[in-house]
Amino acid sequence: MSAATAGGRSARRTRMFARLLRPRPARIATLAAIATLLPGSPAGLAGQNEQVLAALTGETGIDPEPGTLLATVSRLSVEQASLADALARLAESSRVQIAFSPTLLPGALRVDCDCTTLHVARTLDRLLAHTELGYVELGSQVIIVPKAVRSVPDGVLRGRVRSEVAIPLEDATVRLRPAADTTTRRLTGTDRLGFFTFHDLLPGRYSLSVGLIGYALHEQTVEIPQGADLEVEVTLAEQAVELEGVLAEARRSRQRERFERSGGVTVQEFNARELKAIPGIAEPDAIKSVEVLPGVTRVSDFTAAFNVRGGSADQNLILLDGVPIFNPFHAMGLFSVFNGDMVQRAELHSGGFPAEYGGRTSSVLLVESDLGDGDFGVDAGLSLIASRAAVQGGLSQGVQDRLGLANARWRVSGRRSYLDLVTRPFLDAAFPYSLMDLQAGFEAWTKHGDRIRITGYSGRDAVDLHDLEILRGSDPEHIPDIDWSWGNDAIGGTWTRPMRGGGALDVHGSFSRFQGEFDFGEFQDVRARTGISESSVGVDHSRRPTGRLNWKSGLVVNRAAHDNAIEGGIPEAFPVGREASTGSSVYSQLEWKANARWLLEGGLRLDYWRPDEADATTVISPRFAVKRYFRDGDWAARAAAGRYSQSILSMRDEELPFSPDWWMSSGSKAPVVVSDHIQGGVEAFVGHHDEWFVALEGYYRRFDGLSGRNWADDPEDPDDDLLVGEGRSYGADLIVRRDVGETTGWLSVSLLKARRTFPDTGAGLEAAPIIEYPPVFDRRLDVDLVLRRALPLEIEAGLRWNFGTGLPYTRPLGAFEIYRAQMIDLLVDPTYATGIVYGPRNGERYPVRHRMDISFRKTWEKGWGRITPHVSIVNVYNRKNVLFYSFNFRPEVTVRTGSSMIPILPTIGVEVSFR
Amino acid sequence: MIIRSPSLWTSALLAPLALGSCELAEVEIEPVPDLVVAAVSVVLTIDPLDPSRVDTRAFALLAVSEQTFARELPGASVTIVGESGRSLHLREVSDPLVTCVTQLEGGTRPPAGSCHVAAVPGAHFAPGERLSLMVELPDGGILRGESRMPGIFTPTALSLRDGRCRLDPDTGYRFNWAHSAGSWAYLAEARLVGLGDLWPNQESLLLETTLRRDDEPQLAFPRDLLFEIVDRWELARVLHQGLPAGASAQIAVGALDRNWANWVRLGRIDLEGEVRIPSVFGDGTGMFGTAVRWKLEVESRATDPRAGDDDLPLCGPALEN
Repeated sequence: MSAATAGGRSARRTRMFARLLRPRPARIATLAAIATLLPGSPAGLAGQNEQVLAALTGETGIDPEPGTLLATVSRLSVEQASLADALARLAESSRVQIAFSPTLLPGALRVDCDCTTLHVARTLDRLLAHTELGYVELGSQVIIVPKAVRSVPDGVLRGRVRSEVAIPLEDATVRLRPAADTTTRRLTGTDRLGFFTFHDLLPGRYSLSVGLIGYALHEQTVEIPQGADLEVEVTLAEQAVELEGVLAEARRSRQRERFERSGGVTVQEFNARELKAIPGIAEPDAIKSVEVLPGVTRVSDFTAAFNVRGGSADQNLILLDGVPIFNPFHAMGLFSVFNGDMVQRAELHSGGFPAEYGGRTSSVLLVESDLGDGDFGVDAGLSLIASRAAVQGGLSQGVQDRLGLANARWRVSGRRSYLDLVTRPFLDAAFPYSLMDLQAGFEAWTKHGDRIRITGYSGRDAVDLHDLEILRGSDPEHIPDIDWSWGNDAIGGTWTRPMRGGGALDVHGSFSRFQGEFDFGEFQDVRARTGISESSVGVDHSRRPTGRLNWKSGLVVNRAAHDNAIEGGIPEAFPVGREASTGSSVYSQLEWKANARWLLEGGLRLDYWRPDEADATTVISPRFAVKRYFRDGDWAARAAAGRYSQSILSMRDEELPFSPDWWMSSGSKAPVVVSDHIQGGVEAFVGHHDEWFVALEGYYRRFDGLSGRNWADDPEDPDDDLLVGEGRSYGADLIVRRDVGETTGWLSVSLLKARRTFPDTGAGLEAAPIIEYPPVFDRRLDVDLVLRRALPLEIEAGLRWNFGTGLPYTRPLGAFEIYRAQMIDLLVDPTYATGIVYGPRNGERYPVRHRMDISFRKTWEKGWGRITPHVSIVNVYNRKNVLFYSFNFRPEVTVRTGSSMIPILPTIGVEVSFR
Repeated sequence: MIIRSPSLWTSALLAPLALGSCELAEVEIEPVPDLVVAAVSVVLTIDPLDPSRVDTRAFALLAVSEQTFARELPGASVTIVGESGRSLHLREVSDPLVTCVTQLEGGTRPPAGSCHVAAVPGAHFAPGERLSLMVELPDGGILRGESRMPGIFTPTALSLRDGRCRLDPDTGYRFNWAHSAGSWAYLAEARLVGLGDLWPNQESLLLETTLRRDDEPQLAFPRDLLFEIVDRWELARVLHQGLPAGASAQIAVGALDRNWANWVRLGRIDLEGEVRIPSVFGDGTGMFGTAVRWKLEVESRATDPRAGDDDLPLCGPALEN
């Protein structure tokens, strides 16, 4: 190339660059200056400018910071324009200076862009989509330059965040920002042992910042070489100041971390603040709040039992700090056993849970205790139904030294209800129900950095039926001695040794039991009882051989026993007997972040279940998940498949509005349930700083070995007490979530179709026909809108609106008098009882249900702590959602009436924290 | 153990709903067609001490159930045929309320349906025999059912004279018997009289319970029969100790076939009524059941020294409290 030619080309380029874009004099001057920097011919440019230009590389897909040129609204609309014209018009419409070299543009390319509402960055993404060009904001201009021949983004930065006394810090927000690019950043959070990881980093210099409530912000610069797997240790200094923005980002950091590190599992999470913002009856509730998540159905206001993606309620594994809780409900479901003051976080794994979880086939709900910060304090709550108090603290340094511990903290909470007093003004007789529970947690670290964590829970519900008028019968003066009580006891502990690089060794053990008893004290042989217990010990070992591999394996041995009995004439509506079983499970799972685009997970679980009185069962459960990232890692498509098994189940009759659990272990009466799941979908972070999270997922599930009551069992055949059937379900879940701004919350939409297939022994035929029907939780469409907004006067408002299509029920078609011959005189008693002729099982559906709840909270900070009064209104517009129908079969006409669920119900309460 | 009336249990289960639910408005909906309901039974009655003394009685009650109100269905034909080839045709009676239906003390029965009966000395059908029911309705409809007659069973270690025995006051007795082959359950009934102030306004008190089939079935009388009256606390407390002085009871225990057991035991719980498992199929529903029973009488009184050896024998050792 000759110098003259080169010079002429350079001159043309200079002129073309000067097709500028908002041709006002001042801008022209600036652009002219820039044009001289452009490389028409490298030889013709000043050395320094050449270096500057060589350093300019274009990018696409940038999420611009507010106030930047790239964040300006483009107002561009073009059709079949050349790229050069489109860029010129973009500059015109957006009033942003845009510089480019026409020779770099593909001349034949024609572009369309209806981008009037998009910002400049997104508009340029579209205009440059079929080119090798990118853009960069430099000074007061945006320059179109070739994309860099990018380095392979294969750097890994791993780290661990600890306090000044070497205690790992969980939930710290970790931000990583390229030093040369202020428009992008990455966000993650630390896990329970303080570890964090960033994958797929380009080589270069980065700014790393770590924040956590109660600690000073940590900032440092790290240099990531090409292909590096770098580890850093971060120490946070305590600082009793809440960092601005850290709180708001904590959730997003965890969500982002899960998005980047988890392939198959579908997780929704609440923290304590969000739980309290969801309107409800009386007090914040981890389990009741689960129902607002996608894929979750609850059949009535009077139960806290929930169904996930077509699974039965007993197919949800509910873990309190890793300890299973069999019956996590109080007050017949009005609220759960989890005291709101003791809940730090709740996570629902509604699908694709990894191999480390077993024993249930539908979902896993992890409830994590809040153990406080080690400083003495008291939290108390008072509502119309119950009062609660939590006390927290630590151990003195002397005690800790003697025990060889550090950073010890504990928290104890108690709760007592007074439902009987509240109901007295509204009912003829008070409903004599009471609950009391106690929950405690302790955590400490050894001098060697090991963590010890202990959790305990004990709760009792009791109904003193003698005060209930409908049970007094014909002798109102007599006070019957009827004891009806039930409750859970659970204790568990974990010893954790963190491993270098992010792994850990966990040794854990737990004991959990549920017991219920219905006892007529005056008749010693008239009672019903149910009980189940489970003890387990296990070890988990996780390792991160490289920044891209996470391997975890473990072994659990457990012993379960149930004891169900009905004596003395109480109707035997459930299988009775006692049986014990021993189970052992071993699993191994591997997560492999192959590169910036692919995340693969594979796992294998083997469950061996040996009942004392039946043959052993072995279930091998493979699990697999794959995730593909798009658009610079903000979007992902994923798919997962797996097998799950369950060997502890409840014979709860879900068709009743209220029914107690009746737990039993698989064995001689019930088989092990095996379920296969497949699911797939897309999820994405959208908007500035991950403002929105969107996930859409479809699934299909099959359940084999389901058990149901056999109402026509042969009394002498102990093996036919239960019917064995199968189920299947499929559907789709959508969640749109916003965690930034004055109004936060989410919209969830769940589509479900569930079926059950069982023998119909109730038909009376000796060869029972097989029928297929929708289970009572087959809600085809369920929509939940949850909003939280800061109002003036620092009032925090919460709103929850639920809409659901009707649930199925079995309609009685008619009634008749049951004729039965008496044995004594062989005469027929025609008024013996009323019999019902049923229509097809669950062949009818209730009307749609919808309900709006609102709540308001206001917190006053005082020198001694804070006080938060709150008001909730459940069912604001008093919708009469059908709980059940009843039918009055009169001659010539049938009249349908029934009962509704909870009417409008305002409640008030107050929470107080002393610090 | 199975009980027929779950009112207390059901009330307890549903009591929580009273906390917050509200009644929905009444809505008229289209009624369903009337339903033919049949209750057909074949019972072998045996002497508790001599099983060779037996007779056969069959009875059928047919009704059109206009929702919960029954009306008669005259003109039907009811026939039961055994696998041995012997058949029994039931005769329709003209006074069903008298012949077939229990009397309502202090009141009258509503129309209960048409009644067909047959009574035959001896065992018309053999224990263990399979029976087929055929009901031809006046409109040409057909009802069918099948049952297998339970086996003979008698009480063991029981002292009786002319079908009667005695208990010391405020004591009970445990009846034992060998298992009836092929039966699914036992229905035990006791009609008590002479309870005085404990049961002041009615002449007799009928108690019953259904017992699971067992290898060594037994009935603790009257303790096992009290669940239905647990809301009558004082009466239940006294009877839990035993039969009070001056009271007497007719007691019958029947071994039930599968159909009968399914018809009387608690099925699925429904708010409208009880969901029973039918054994009559075709153009209606109902039960076709068979049973074997024995019956006796018990008096509660101290021994009568004047009667000497003529006094009633004690049924057996008193039930321990």
